[in-house]
Amino acid sequence: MKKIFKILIITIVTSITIASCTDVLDVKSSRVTYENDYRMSSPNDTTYAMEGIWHQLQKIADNYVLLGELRGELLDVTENSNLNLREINNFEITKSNPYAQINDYYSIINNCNYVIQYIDTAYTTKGQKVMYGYLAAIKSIRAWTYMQIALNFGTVKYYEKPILTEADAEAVDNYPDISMNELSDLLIADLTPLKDIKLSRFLWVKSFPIHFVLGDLYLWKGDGYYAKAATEYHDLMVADNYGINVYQSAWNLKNKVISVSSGFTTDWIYSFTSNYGETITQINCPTTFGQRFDLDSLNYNYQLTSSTIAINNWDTQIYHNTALDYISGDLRKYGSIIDKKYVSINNGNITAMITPTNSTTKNIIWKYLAYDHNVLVYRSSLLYLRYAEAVNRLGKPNLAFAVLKNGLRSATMGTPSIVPLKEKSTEKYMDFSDRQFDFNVGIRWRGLGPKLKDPNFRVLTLGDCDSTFVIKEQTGGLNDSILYVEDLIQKELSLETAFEGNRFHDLMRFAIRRNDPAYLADKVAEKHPDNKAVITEKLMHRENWYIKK
Amino acid sequence: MKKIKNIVRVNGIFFCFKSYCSMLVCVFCLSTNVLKAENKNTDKEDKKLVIGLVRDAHTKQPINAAQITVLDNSISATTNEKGIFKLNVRSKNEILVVSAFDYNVRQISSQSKDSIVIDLYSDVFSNYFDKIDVLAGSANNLTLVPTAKNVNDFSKSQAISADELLQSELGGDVRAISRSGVAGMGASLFIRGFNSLNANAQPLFVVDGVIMNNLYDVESIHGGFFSNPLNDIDVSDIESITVMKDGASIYGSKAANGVVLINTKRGKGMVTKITVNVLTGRTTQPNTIPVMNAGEFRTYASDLIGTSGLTNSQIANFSFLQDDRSKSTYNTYHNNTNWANGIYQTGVTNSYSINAKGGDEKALYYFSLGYTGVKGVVKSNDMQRVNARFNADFNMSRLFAMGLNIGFTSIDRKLTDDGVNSYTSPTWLSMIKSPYLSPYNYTSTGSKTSELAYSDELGIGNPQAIVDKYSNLIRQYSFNVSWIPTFHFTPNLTLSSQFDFNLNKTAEDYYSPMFYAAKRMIDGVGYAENTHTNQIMRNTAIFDDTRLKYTKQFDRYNQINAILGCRYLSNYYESDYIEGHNSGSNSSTNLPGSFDSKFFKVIGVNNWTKSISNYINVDYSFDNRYYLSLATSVDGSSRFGNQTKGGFSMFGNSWGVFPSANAAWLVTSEKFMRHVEFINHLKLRVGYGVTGNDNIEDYATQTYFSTVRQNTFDNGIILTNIANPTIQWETTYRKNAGIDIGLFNERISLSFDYFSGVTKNLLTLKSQPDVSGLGVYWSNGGELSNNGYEFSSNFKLLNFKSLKWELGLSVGHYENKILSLPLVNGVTDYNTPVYGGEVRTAVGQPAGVFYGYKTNGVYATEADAANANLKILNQNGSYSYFKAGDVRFVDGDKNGNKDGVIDANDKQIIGNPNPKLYGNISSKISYKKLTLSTLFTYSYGNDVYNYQRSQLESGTDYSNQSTVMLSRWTAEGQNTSQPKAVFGDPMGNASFSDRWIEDGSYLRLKTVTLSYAIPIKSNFIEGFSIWISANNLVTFTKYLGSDPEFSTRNSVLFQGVDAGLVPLSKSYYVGLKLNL
Repeated sequence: MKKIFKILIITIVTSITIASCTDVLDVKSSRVTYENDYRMSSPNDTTYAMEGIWHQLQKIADNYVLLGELRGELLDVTENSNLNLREINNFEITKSNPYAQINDYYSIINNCNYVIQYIDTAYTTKGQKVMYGYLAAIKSIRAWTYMQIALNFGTVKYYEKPILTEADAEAVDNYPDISMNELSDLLIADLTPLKDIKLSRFLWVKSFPIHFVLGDLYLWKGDGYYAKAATEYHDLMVADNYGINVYQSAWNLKNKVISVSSGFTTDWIYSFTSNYGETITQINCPTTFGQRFDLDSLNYNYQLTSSTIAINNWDTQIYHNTALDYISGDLRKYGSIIDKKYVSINNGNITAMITPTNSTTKNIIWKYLAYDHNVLVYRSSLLYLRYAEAVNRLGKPNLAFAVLKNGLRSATMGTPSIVPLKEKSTEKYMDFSDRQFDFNVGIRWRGLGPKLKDPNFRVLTLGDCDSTFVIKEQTGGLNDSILYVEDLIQKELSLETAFEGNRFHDLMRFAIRRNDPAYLADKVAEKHPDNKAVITEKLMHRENWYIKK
Repeated sequence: MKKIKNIVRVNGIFFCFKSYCSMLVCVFCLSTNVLKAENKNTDKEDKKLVIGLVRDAHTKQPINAAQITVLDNSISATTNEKGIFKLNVRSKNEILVVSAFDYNVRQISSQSKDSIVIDLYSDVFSNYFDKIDVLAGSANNLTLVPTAKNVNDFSKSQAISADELLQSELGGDVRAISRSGVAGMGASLFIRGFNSLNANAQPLFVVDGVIMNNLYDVESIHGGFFSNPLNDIDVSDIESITVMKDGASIYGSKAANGVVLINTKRGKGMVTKITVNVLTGRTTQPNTIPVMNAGEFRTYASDLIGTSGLTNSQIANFSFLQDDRSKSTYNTYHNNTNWANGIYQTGVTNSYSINAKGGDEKALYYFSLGYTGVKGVVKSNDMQRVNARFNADFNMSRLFAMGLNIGFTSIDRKLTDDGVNSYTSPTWLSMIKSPYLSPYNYTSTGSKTSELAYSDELGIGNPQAIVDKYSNLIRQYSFNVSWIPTFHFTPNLTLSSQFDFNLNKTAEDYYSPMFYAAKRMIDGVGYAENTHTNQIMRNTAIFDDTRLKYTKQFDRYNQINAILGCRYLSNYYESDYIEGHNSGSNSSTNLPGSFDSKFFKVIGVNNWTKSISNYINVDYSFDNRYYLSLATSVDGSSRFGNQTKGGFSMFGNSWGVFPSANAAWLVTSEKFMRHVEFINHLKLRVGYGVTGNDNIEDYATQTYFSTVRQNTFDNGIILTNIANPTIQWETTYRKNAGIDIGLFNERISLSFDYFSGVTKNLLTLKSQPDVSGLGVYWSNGGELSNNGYEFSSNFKLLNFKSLKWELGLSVGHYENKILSLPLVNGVTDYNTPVYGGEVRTAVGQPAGVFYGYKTNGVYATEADAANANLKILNQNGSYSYFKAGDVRFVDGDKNGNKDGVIDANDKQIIGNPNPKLYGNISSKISYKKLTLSTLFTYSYGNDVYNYQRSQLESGTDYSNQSTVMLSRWTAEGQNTSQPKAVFGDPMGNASFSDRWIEDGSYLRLKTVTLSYAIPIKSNFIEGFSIWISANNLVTFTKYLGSDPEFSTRNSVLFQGVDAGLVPLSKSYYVGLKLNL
């Protein structure tokens, strides 16, 4: 009996020992990559990681547009709109709203953190330390994403090391919540050393230029940082040759009469279609291989439309105030919206008639059709308008105004009636002498429709453009002028960059800067005629500007 | 936080140990006491002579040449012509095994008697005393300790796969629910309730000792189809199927849902035996819910158009509304088509198999070949199966033997989508397609052509075109080979190892043609006109089970059988899927070349799982009275984290311990029972066991990255999982008490089992902290219980010379209850969407209950509706009030608060898919060479969500409706139970409510078989029998759907949902069996 037990015990011990060697239970998968096998060990890993991050960005591309615009006064819901869109529109976003899932943002951050942790910046090819470009691109994506969290949700949990276990996740979850202001300091410190790194062609357009992100961060910081903001925006104009010059809309005059039905070109709309020179940053949103992108179908199904405010904004603009050529309206309207009946769908591809029309029964957003499976985040006009916003607050309202009306180039800068001597200074950001700026025109000027391409028609001169559009001498002096021009910039943003995703946050920034919640509340409440008092009351409290976490 | 965790962990282990140890101690004390008490007496008598008479139970005539042995065959005797035998037994409690030609074996305790009379029953009756295959090998039913049920007669079965047999043969022991009427689809199986919520709840299949991957979570690309690996085994190759319900701890972390052992036939004797089975069958067109005819539908559709908000000119564009005979389209829109006729046909089944067995002293073999061909009841559906099997046992020497098993099966199917699918399921389209249309086009002059029509103006495809134009294929191959070397070190000690390699491959191809099927909107992508998908799946398993077996009879009382073993399973599953849409034509359909890249999709899965189980099983018996069976396994798996709460850590892995103890007392061996003559056998059983469910996601314990597509063709890598080192198996603790009893000279045998189980550490989805960016993850938490009983009985009602009648009845019952659930986002209870309805998982409720609105008829008048004053919240924030003709929903949340608004707060539990009772009733009457077998199956008290009917009575779109909708509300004051038809259903009248919940109870005459053994006296032919059989002849049920027996999926939360798969229908078979 004892012998038997001995045998039993010996065999059980041996069998457990043999069977339990540590690697006997290890499994591998060729479908996934284990963390400890990855770690950016080859340069290709970084490229794959970069593509992965772009893929993740697509998840918040819809959010960027919908949260930025539906909460503003320009984009509106329709009778077709689903509950998620209505929640956003009414500032009643619930936890389940797919366009306000905070973990979609953090997933980008965590992936960025992982690459930043392991990226091999010492790697050189052809004598170039190429990985610095990736590092810059990924850090700017991370910064921009953090900024989106802070702007949409009020605060962020800031972490720079990747979360790789459940324990890590719990630890980070206990970090303090930090505000946009504190976040800005951290991000500025993080980005500044990398801001002059040139990006390769591969990273171009798909990443966020550090100058732009820094400029925005300084702009949000406000007083004391406007010069830095202006410098960053200016640096970007110079470094990557961004101007306002190519795509100009025009009214056609026939027999000295402008015919609305057929008489205009709207080349302006090409300034924000993909792969043209004025695009600074876009998020690619293909639907191949099962990837989601809702904006197209929401738009096509008339779940989104332009508000009457947006249409009014354009319709009340005056192009040329002479008895002969007086016409009201802004050609950017026709690049921004289109009647749904002119849009059709074939084999899943949306096609729209290229000629915009003046019909306004069921408007959908032309810009989204033009995006063609991309979401435009930054483009030249926005860069110049942000520059204007910064220099205006530096006490240079005339310079800022010139961005709208005249265009920044050496000729404008040298005309004291446009940029008075008292606003001229020697800072780098005041320098528009380079040839690259020579063709710059005013943002408003080209969008309203000044230039006539057909030589048979009368060519208007620059000065003819809307003679009523002037910077008025304000009784209160410089401060009043600044506020006046800031209002014009705010208005111009609504005409030029409507529906692009920045509206609500722009209004937030202006309202915070002026310490005047009504500046935002009144404008947005205007969109809710049936519910105006409730919305105003809600938005008078700053905490309601943010999505409840 | 950490401390609490540790305490929990210690407690967990401690609990396991405590219960296990206390049981061990109890059993041990019991047996040692007995040992002491008995030792004094037994030493006195060494051998005892038993004299017996063996006779026929009916005629009471002695049986000559009956064999009498004891259980271990150590002594034996034969009766003389007077039926008398004499046997010197070692113990006065010896169990005698009596067998004779043409009779069933009988086992009887000698009960210290000197003389004994043993009546034998004809082998026409079923045999209680058969050998039964259990986990540790072959065992004796009378002395078996754990609960196990066995089937071993498949001679007249028309079943295509083994799971179909479980239902008919073990109705009360296994809740087996046929999936659909498609051949070989098998059944969803639940043993002793639902032992999981989110993980696999199907039993473990062990085929010839090898663990089979049941591929329970593998989705086919063909709607409504299941890949059923049991279909790879030809039923005529099966020797026995055993269902193990407890004492299965040697399969530890895989055994929580019970174990089904399937053993194929092997050569047993040296005589060459050849068996030929042939059968042919016809399956009739199934019953479907009756739908409206052309006139009725035209009225309905025009009613509905009036509510659709279209303008008059738009309405005028609908061709079917135009009644002008002179129009060229008149004929197109004035047919009366019964679409079902073009879809269904009489199904045909043919099956042939031949097997041979035999051998010599050196080797025994079994070889079989089989073919099964099925033409489905739905056109374009068929199946061909070819299978071959070779099992051999080589006796190399006295010390060394070698087993070899080889199996190969190939299955080819053609099939169409099944179930409620408004685009491509011909069965469903045949119900909803407008009957005024024809399958064929008309010319401009109005004459009919033979070309098939495209999808119609109402957006519904042509079902007949779909059955004609589809070319959907599945090819499955499975191959396995096993070596089983066995070393007999001593007569008592054996070492064997079973090494098995198993390959399963499935290739699926699917094409849905454009024009004939309607366009479909793919969310976030666009309209798809045609679809081509393809999927290749491969499962490779390497298995090894090495066992050291020790058997010893120590003295005349104490016997031990011990097994020490180690099992290793490496399972690799890979699947690759590709999908394309919009190739622009039905002729250019190459994947990937022809399709629009915008819709293109390629995904796949690689899952590699390794598991190890070290196990020990000790069976001890004392004096044929007391039996004890102890088993423990120590399991590790690549799926377990290395910091699990329920296990211990060793070699960097976490190991779970799964002990079980079962004890039995054969009361009829006791001396005091010798005078209780009407009880022939009585056995009491108790058991307690811990088992696990290791069906958790692969790689959950690892931090890993996956590939994604970016910008059409670029590859990106993103973090998709962060390590959860605590994830572990679900643990089931189950108690069992049972009694087996044979009465009145074994005329009646009864078996009753009570069980009570708790499953802890349920696999549940939890939310990650937002900062990880990953959403949800699998974790352990929550408990559920299953309590119930199983009863089975067998009555030998008539036992005359020529006429014999045997009746069987089985009943199963379980009560499932969720005891606790982890807090996720502050709540425990949650709803899962299922086919437009919702299933609630809530503490205190059974799993799978339906959750929706209660209704109370239809408002007959506007005044009624105005009185009720109920409304719903619209998407745009406004309210709509219920009007006459709308459903009267019951207002009131769970606290009874009526707020006047019908919304999610008013939902409540409206049905329970768990039956109160289920089982079967079988009868076998034989008269001379004729045998009539009848089998009823039943289920009582289960609710069904009739999804199919909910679609046919929704009245919301232009699909044809059931004839019940003829009584829909149409006029003020009309009292009816059917609400009005309104396009788009703005008031939600058709939403998930008790209108769609029905009583699914049924009693079904499942099979009737009449067989005749042809008396051929020939040297060549040993036996020849023919049989005819009918299935599903009569069903008693109140269920309004096509058929009350269905199982849409085998996961727990999808039970009782009738998704409209092809129902079972009547079928008739003729078969013959020839033994050479």
